[in-house]
Amino acid sequence: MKNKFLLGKKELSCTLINLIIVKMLFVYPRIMVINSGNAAWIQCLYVSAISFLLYYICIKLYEKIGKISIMEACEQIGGKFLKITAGIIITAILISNIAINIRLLPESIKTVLLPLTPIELLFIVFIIAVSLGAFFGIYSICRIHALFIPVIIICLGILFLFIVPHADINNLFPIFGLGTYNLFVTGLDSLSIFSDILVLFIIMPFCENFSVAKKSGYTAMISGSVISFLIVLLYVLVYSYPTSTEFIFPSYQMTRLIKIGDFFQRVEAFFEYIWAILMLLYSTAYLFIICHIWKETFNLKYYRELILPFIIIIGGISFIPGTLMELYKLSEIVARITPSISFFIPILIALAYRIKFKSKIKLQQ
Amino acid sequence: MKRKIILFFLIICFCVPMLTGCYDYREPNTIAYVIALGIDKGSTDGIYKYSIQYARPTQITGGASEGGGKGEDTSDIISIESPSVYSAINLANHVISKTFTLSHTKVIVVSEEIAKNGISPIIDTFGRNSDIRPTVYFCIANESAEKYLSSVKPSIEINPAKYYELIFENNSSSYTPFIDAQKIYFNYKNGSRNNVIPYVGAFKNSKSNQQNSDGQSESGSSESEKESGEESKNSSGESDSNSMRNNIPLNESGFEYHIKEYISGNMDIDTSNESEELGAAVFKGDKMIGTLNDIECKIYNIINGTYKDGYTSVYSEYTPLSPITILLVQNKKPDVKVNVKNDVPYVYIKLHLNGDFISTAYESILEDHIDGFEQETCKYIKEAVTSFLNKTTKEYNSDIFGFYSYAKRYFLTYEDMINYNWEKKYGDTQFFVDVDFNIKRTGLIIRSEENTE
Repeated sequence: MKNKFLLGKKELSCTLINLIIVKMLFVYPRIMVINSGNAAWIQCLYVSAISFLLYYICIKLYEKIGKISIMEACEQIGGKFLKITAGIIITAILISNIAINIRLLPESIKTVLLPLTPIELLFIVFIIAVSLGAFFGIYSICRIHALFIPVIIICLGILFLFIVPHADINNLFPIFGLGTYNLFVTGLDSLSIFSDILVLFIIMPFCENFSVAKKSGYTAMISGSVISFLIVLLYVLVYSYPTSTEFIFPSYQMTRLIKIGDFFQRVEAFFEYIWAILMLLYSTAYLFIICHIWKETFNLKYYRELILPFIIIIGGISFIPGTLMELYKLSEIVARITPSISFFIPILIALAYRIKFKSKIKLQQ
Repeated sequence: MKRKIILFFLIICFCVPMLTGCYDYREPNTIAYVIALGIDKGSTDGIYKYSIQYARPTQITGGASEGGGKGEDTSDIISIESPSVYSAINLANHVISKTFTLSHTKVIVVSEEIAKNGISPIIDTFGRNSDIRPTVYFCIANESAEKYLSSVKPSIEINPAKYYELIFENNSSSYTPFIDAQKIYFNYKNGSRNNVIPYVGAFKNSKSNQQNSDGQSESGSSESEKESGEESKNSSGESDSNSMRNNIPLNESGFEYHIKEYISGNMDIDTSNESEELGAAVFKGDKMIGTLNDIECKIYNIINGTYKDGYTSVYSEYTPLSPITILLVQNKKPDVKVNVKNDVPYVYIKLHLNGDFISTAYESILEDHIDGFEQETCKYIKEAVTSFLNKTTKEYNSDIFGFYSYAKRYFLTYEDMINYNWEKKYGDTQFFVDVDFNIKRTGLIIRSEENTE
């Protein structure tokens, strides 16, 4: 390996935390409230618990595979055919995830900040930045994550503290919101919040060792769950149902309420800055990972040459929904499909690996 | 190295066009800031008359101490008929050289006529657009919104925006409720509470109002005639005003004893500023169904837990000839419990209040009867609160306190909650009020009979 630097726990955890929480800062609290009403906070806890369980199963099964990427494991199990099939499926999942999110930031900036600026211009500036970020590689991306994420989490915490006075405990009731079926059955759609944990199994070879990757995954799952839970809980406490189903960007809407005396108003401008940084880092990491998977799938030498074609493909797909409403509908469909694939691909591959190399594993033991 | 140089030049090339600024830039000197927006009924259905009060920054600069303009010079009003706020802004942009923005709008005033027909067609705008602050004040004008905005002539504030801020957000002005545009929208949308919105107006019988009407009616007559007419009408105006002053009822109950039951538009206060902000408009759904006077507003704020402090006049049996003035403070929000196990909802309220003596009568030494006075005051507060609560059920049948949101905890799901049909049952609600009131301080004087003897 050319780079002597390997991803440590901090870098990896911060990257994974960002991949999980960035969606909570955009549309996810609303999607959860639409599903469960004011019981969205219970749904968040429930989904977090299930995701944690799924991750535990994944990582337990993957323990025997060790520090190799999911693509490499596929190749060892089923040769090139399985590797290419898995590569294409994973790329498709990641593209569908990023295509929606990469459109959301320019759309949100246009809605709340620059209503007169054409979306195309905002989008171009954004994808140039994303492409540049991906160009510098995973180490730079993760190190920047490690630099920004702790600061951003503290800033978000402070921002949300100022929203607490607007909370009303009565908004938590009726406790089961729109009913237990919505909460515990259809609520499973929200598993997609944690579906990005799949990324951990792709960038595994960049980690110091398997233990670091495993611990980073746990840290990210716990931190992501806590942050997501707090955001949803605060949203539900501040806006009672059904008003809470109306806001496109719940977290932004909450920050609009902050008024600290006469001098500190419009604090949401600061939140928009956080938005932009998190989404930029998220998209950068995603673009790199997509290029990296493609490189691995087809045994290419370099990934950088793939950045341009992929950003064009992602950009093209993200503009398929003509309007923001269509984008939401699409995001709901993607949210239903991706979690099952994201969690079950590592489980299936790890299981297949265990079955195929049973004797080898026994020998190792 | 070569690649780094190329990359460096690429970054420079990319940054240079950014430094020149955007083509869609908006500089502060090209923007006209709307301070207040008045909405009246238009000449035809579906059309509203928007009165846009905008700041004239050149008159405001310098502040009060440095000789800025007068309160009336610092803003101007444009009235435009249009189906929506933004189309009115569009039209107004063709009247003045700068572009209007609502980002610094402080208050939205809606006429009573519109409020009685329903405000739902207009409130959506204030929740949907990011340039209007969610915390913008919202109020109902007793006659026309335009008239109210024209009557705002702050005498000690140069900046009209500051005037609105101070008037609507004053902790000690307990005679009006506090609510912003976003909360109005939420309350209407959620149905868990009906809105109570500040009621504002221009004093109907003020001297300048009379002068204006005189000026209009006698515009064709000569100056001398005009002057004499003015005098005569003024004198008749005075008598009208006096009769109106006599008509304002006095509160005879123990709480806020002998305070006049004022509401915006009927205050008998002489001031150069004709605008009044007192009382509240009561809503059911999106329609205005009644008004609250100053005292009712104070009780509303106390029950709501939004009351901070204020001077309160209380009757006392120890000093029947002169009411006692206390500084009534609410340090803790009321405890509210709602029981919906039966068909009739039961609401239990416990108010936590305390007070300081501000002025007592010399005829009796109240310090020796603190317990008695506290009990007496508790009784008056309880009577006033219960009577007001019953008014909301019997007269308005409107849950203006949001007891519904307290009742929510008795239901497991949203469906159960809807099936209970709170709106229908609220009219039969029974209230149980408990008041915890203590006198904390007696001011700088403390008297007792022993010392006096």
